[in-house]
Amino acid sequence: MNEDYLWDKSGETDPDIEMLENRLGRLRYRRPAEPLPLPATSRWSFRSSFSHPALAAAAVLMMLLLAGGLWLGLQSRSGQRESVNTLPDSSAPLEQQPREHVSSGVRPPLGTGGPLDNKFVASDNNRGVVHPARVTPRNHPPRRLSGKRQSMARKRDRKGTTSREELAREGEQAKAQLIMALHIASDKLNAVQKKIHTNPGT
Amino acid sequence: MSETDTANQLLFIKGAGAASTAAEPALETSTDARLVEAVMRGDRDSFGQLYDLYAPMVHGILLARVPWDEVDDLVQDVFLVAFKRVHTLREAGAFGGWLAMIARNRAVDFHRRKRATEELPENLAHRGSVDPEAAEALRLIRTLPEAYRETLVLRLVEGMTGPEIAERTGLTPASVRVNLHRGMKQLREKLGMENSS
Repeated sequence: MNEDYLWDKSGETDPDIEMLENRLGRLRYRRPAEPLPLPATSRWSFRSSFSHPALAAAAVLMMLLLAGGLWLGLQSRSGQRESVNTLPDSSAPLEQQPREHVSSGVRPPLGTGGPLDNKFVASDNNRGVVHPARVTPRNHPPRRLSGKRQSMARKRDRKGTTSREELAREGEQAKAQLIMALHIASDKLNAVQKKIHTNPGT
Repeated sequence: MSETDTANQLLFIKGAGAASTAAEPALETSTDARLVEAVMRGDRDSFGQLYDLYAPMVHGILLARVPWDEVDDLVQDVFLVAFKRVHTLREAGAFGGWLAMIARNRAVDFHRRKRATEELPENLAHRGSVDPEAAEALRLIRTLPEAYRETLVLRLVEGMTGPEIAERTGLTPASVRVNLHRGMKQLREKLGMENSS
């Protein structure tokens, strides 16, 4: 047997090998008439600036930002609810009314002789801003109110209770939305990871 | 025989010819690697060129393992898989060996799904589209051990030289040379045994 001819077709031709080449060459690969039908360019097939780790990191960042935004929203609503809960009894006279109650949109009821009835809210710096910590309601026993004032007080309580309930409801809704957003982001991240690790074919 | 010739034979080196032979595959490898890198950047035309370069190798690997009439479809399958997964290739220079592995795995997967035997069907030689002598020779090659079978098909069917087989499949030239030599020896014995029987 001519080793050289078998190796790189150099040297003297080996008749047995040549015979086999002629026979088996009929089974040789022939380029098809039509080109290989390649699928549409997929971002998973080619390296791009949006590589898999970057895409996964972007998905995680988006999820965190969304969660953070919703959490902040929830916190701000909880803060409003707490400020409503700590609203001093407007029936008790106060030396100073915290401005925060005014700025938050929860006005103390007028006509009750409260300090905000057309009165300037005194403060240290005369800017009308009062630190809540400085507000010290007088330690008076609760007054006995007249019938009319009692009903008005009851209405006020009901309103306050209703607004507190509404805020609580909104807080719950925001919490539910936050959880849903986290689920959605988590599902998307899982889908991304699955696509990365799935190997089509063998 | 001089000591130099003996040493060259042992090392499968053949003087200046070996040098040029060794240089050519290296140049081809770097060209192939550049094509692979272009494909990774999104160049579909480069993948077409790779297809032209490596289709004979894939065809030969599959022909050594699966029925003849299934090979063409499987060649396309292998390249489609390679196209989709080329981004997972860490070293562009390893494309040939990686592609060969995909082809072998595809053949295994074919048998797992189709439950086909390794032997060609008896009536294959009588099909109009297949030359009976070629089918018979291929049948004999497919009875050889896998390593010899694949190398012999690439050499005798696809017409690739030993250095080309080494360069495309990622095998060492020494391994390819040994496989060709031993495989051919066994094939001759089988041909001799067939003729005598």
